Amino acid sequence: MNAGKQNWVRRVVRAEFFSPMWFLGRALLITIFYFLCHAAGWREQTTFLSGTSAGAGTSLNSSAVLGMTYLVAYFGFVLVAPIFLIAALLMKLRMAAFWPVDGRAGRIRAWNSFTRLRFRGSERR
Amino acid sequence: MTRTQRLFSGSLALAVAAEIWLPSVHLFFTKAGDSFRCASGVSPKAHELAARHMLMWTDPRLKSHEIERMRRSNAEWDFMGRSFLVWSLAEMGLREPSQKANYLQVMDRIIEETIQLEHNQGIYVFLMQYAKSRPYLVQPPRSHFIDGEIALMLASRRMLEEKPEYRPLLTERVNQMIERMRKSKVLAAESYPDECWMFDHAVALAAIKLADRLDAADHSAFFREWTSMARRQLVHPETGLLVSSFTTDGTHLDGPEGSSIWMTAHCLRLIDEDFARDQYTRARKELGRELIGFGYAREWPVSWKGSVDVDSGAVIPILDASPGGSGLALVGASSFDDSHFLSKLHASLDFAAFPMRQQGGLKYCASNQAGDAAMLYAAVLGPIWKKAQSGEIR
Repeated sequence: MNAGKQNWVRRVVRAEFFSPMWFLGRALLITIFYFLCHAAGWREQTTFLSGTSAGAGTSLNSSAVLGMTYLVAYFGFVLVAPIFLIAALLMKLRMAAFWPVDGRAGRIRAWNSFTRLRFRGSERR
Repeated sequence: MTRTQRLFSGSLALAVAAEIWLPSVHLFFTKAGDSFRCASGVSPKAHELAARHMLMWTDPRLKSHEIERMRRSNAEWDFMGRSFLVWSLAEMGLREPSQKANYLQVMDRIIEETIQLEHNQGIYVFLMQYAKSRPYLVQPPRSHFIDGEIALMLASRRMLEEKPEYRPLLTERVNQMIERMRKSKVLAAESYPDECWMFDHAVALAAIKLADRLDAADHSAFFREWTSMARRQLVHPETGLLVSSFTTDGTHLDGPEGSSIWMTAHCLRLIDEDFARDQYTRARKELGRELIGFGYAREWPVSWKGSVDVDSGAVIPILDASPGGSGLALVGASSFDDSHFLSKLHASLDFAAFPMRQQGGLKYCASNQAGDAAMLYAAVLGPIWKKAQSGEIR
């Protein structure tokens, strides 16, 4: 892994909670988790929802455990990951729109009028 | 940005993102109306589902795998998978005359094997273990569940193409069913010892109706008597829906159930169209639900609380969404041409039943062979009922 990639991974892992990078990183982790579950063939284990085990040699309980794991991964991938991506995008857009590079000393008027919060320019990163 | 500001800002972004994404998800799963069910011909999805079943009945290893895993939980599913498949193939044969010979071959194989199994191992081969826990009130023991579905298999096969050997078999089942129903003051025959199911009665009545059409018999007085009794004694007072199970003296055992009422309403169309439509409309109101563009069915109405069982499947908490009820809601929506609800249910099927395509066939992983056969039936039903109602037989 080259230095650029290492830096990128470090940025994702160490991203501040609820920052755009944090949302992006979690969406990626969910996606990876889903594809791992899918590759493991656990989609078939969701048959436990019908009260049936996946095979004659598999108990209903073990189907339920693997099937539930797949359900979490799938709904995470289909419902949660896109929400995280959109949230990351929205935060980035908001920053780009209301946090100009030279606005260190200024106020973010439009955002403040929306959120009713007053930010100090010095707190900007 | 301070931590508080970031949390606030992140939460707000999450809320807006959820508001954008959640109502849009269904757009990725909602297909054109005729992708599941066509007015004429067979839809691509029905073809894919049928291909999987046809493969199963020609590949002994696959068949044994599918049947074994269902029988480990419930022997009834093995039987219902056969029934729904035969009924579906009969409908498909009328929709696709060029494929009729292939369908008839599989139908006959299933019917003959099923009757043989019943003959060799008795009715208990297709019943749950508790059927042996006490004796049937009417002796010798017979199950209305098995008689009704086999009768409808025989009748559907004969509706597609006459087979003289099946005529006495159907007549015998019909006579047995009517004789046993007549022994109860509420015209109820046992599926399990002193346990009668509405689903089984509706299927049995539909089979008798088809037999009437095929063999120029007339049980219309019996149908009127049964419908009138059911309206009086087998209806849940709060919802007006038919209850799902009762004893031979008419005592209600369960209230209305999603895994029963949709198929019941579909079958009752042959007996009393207005009553059937009223039951569908009520079921739609009491059990049919839509959420962010997806449709599903509750297992019980709000006014009745039942327990999770083999029929309902694993009921999803809060929503009370039932896999069994939702699967059979497809049958109801299809039968009553409720294209809006059918499209929403179809979207849910592709979203949350986990379709998997293999060797040109389609199966839903969250389901089993019986469930998939019921979905196939929902996708193709129509021509047999239409033929019976029009009086056109040959």
